[in-house]
Order: sequence, then C-alpha cells, then structure tokens
Amino acid sequence: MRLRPSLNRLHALALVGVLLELVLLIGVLYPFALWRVPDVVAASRPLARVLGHEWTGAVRFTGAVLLASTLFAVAAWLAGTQVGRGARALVLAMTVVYSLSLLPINPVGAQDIYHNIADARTVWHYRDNPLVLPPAAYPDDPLAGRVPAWQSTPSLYGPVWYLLAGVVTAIASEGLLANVLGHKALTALFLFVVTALAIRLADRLKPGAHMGAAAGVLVGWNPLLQFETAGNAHNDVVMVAFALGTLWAMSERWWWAVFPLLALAVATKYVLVVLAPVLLVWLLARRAAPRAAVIGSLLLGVAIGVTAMVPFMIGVDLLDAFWREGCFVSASPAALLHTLLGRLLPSDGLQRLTLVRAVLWPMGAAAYVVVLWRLVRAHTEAAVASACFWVIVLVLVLGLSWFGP
Amino acid sequence: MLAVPFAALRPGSRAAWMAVAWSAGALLLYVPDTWLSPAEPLVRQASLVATAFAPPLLVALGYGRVYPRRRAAHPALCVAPAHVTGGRAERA
Repeated sequence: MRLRPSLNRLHALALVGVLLELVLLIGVLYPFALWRVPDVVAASRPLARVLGHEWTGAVRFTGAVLLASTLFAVAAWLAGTQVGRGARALVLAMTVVYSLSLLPINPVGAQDIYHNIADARTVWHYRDNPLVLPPAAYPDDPLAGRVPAWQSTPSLYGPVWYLLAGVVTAIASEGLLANVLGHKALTALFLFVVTALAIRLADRLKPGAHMGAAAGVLVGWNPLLQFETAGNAHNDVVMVAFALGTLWAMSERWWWAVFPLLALAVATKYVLVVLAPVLLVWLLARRAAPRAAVIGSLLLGVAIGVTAMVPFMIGVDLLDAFWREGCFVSASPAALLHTLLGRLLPSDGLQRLTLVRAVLWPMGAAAYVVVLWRLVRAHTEAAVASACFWVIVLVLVLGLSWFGP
Repeated sequence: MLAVPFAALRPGSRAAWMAVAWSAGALLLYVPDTWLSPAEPLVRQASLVATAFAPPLLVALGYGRVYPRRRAAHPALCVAPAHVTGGRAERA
C-alpha cells in the first residue's frame, strides 16, 4: 500500500518531465533549430532577429520561459518526495533528453561561442596565446571571420578551458557547424557531470534525507542551465563541475584533492577563486581534517594553478585585462546605480563606476566576512555548500558590474 | 548559472527555491535585454535588474514567512516523507 503513493509521485514527476520536454521542443527547438536558422546570427540582438523585433517575439519567448520555469518548479517540488533509484535514473535520463533536444539549436543566446571556437584555434592551430591575440589577429582563418562580436578583444579564460576546447578543435577542424556542435556537446557533457555530482552530493551532505533526485532536477532539468549549456555552450558549467568536485572530495575526506580541484575550476574561469577562503576556513575549523593535509592540499592547488597558468600569462597585462573585463556595466545593481548616478552627477562613466564600487564592494566584503563567520560556527557539512552559494550570490549581486545568464 | 548548482545541494532550502526563481529571472533577462534595448537607459537598466534579481529576492524574503506556516498547516506537503530521518518533516 505504501508503494502506490510513491509510484504515483514518480509517474507525476515523469509526466511533468515529458511536458517540460514538449515545451523545450516547441518553444525553443522549433524556432531556433539549426535547420531553420543555419547561419551565424550576426546581430546585436540575435533573439529578436529570429523571433521578430515586435512584441509578438517577446511574448513567444516569455511564454516558453514561464511555462518551462513553472514545470521546472513543479518538478523540483515533486522530486523532493522521491527516494528510490528509479527517480534518480529518471532525472539523469531526462537530463540527457533535454540536452539532446537543445543541441541542434542555433546558439542565439551567446555569440561568445564563436569567439571560443576561434580562441581554441589560436591555441591549437596557431600555437599562440588567446589572452594576447584576439580572433581578428588571424584575418585569413576560415573561422575567425565568422566571429560576430568582440573580434578585436582577447578572451580571458583559463588554460583548462582552452585545453578542453582543443579536443573539439582536433575533432571538428575547420567546420563551423561541427565546432558549434562540439562546444555545445562539451558543455552539455559537463552539465550531466554536474547533475550526477549534485545527486550524489545532496545524498552525502544530508545522509538519510534522500534529496538526490531533487538536487538532480534542480540542475539537470533546469531550463536556464540547459539553454545556456546545450543551447549556447556557455563554459561556466565546466568550472562549476570542478568546484562541485572539491565538495565531493571533502565529503569523501580526500583532503589532498580539495584545492587541486579548486585550482582546476579557477584555471577554467577565474571568478571561483572567491571560494578558496570558504573552503580553507571550513577545513581549518574542522577537527576531522588534519592541518598538514589541508596545508599540503593548498600548496598542491597553488602549484597546479601556477603551473597551468604561467605559460598563458607571458606577455599578458593581467591587471589591464581584468580592468577591461570589469568595465562592462549592464543588468546588475551596480549598473542601475551607475546609470542613476549618471543622471545626478556630472562625471564620466569610469568615475561613476569607481564611486559605485566604493559603495558596493565594502558591503560585499562585510557580508563575505559574515558568511565566513557563520561557517566557522556551523556544524553540518551542508553548511559549506550554503556558504559557497551565498558567496557566489554576493559576487553576482555586489561584486560584478555586469550580470548575464 | 554559477550559483544554482550549489543551491541545488540543499533541495527545499531557501537557497534552492531562490535558485529556481533566479533561473527563471535569468532566462527572462533576454526579454528586456533584447526587446527593450532602444529604451531610455535608466528604464532599461531598471527593467533588467528587476527581471533578474527581483524573483530570487522575493523568494528569499517570502520563504521564511510562508514556508513554516505551510508546513504547520499542511504536514503532507513536506518535501521529505515523514519516516525519512533528517528530512524536512524532522526539521519541522
């Protein structure tokens, strides 16, 4: 008698999963499919170019997002009641189905993918440094000419990303479509890894609570994560995979692996370096972690990070590069304050940005200290996951002047 | 996108529901970013920030008020089954 309600809940979760798939097929795959939109959408607003610049285009996209997000929220709630292996298998299977459904769409949400393809060729075909040379440095390259934005701006990713992108370059060679699909498949693969890690970690961080399926839904069934990885090949998911790996290593008591895995995350994209103090404080506050192992792990992580990054740092004015990246101002609380100040103060953009940072960064730093202080006093392993979440929220809300999905 | 997988490690928590709302807001960000691009800068930035950050902020503020009351009134809505150790039912 007790099986029936759980089976019904599993059926309900499966039904919601199928409905979500239908929304992705009709609302995302159909309008953006590569066989309908085969070329690079070289427009400042690619979504509007495809869906139409009128309000009907906005309504179509908004409707699909709201429907998908509602189904996703229902699935997240339903999955919290699932305790069996069947639920986890369903979550992982549908994660693959969603990714396969979004792989064949035109990456209309990210023109960075073409820059990333060109950067990978800079490393692996021309043996040059993409942190120094932008795609425009190779005007005769068959793919550099297809980069629709930031052609003259070098990228600022880490060596691990260029290493992984090199696998795609080696397979896809000079084919644009093959490269696009390769980058999407690569990030979708990492989304699957993150989903599987989330399932295992959720069960491990709170033993007996059986929250794995719910954690898997929150990642693998997440329309945002699916759209931005399988759809747009954003590489954030790669560093997140390594960062979750650090938490996995901590849960397994593999202390020596914690900081090397974080180093790989930072060597993919630099922003997650903000997690280093969180992990260090947590490990030093725990009696279970031997100090020598923690220090050894930290030194090993620094060594791996430096070894990976030094070859790419030769000839790079890193401060200038970070300054350039930090000057993008849009869609963030800092951007709103920046624009508001522009109305009130007769100053140039850089002066206003400095003033905005003078207001927001101390607030963020103070909140960061509070997070660390609460972490020292916490007694559960789940607290470190929460601390990581809140630190990233602080960076996104108060630290960065540019926010994007 | 960065924060969501970390929130997912604690399903049912304030952070997890914030992540659900943030995911929706971040996807909806394409709408003002794309279709409001010709708008006056302050209106555009305000709409962008409201779209991206208001949903998780509202969930963060509302979670503490709504969720305990709902758990008390409807124990059947608890996410983890009552017999599961360490689940929400136990915390409640």
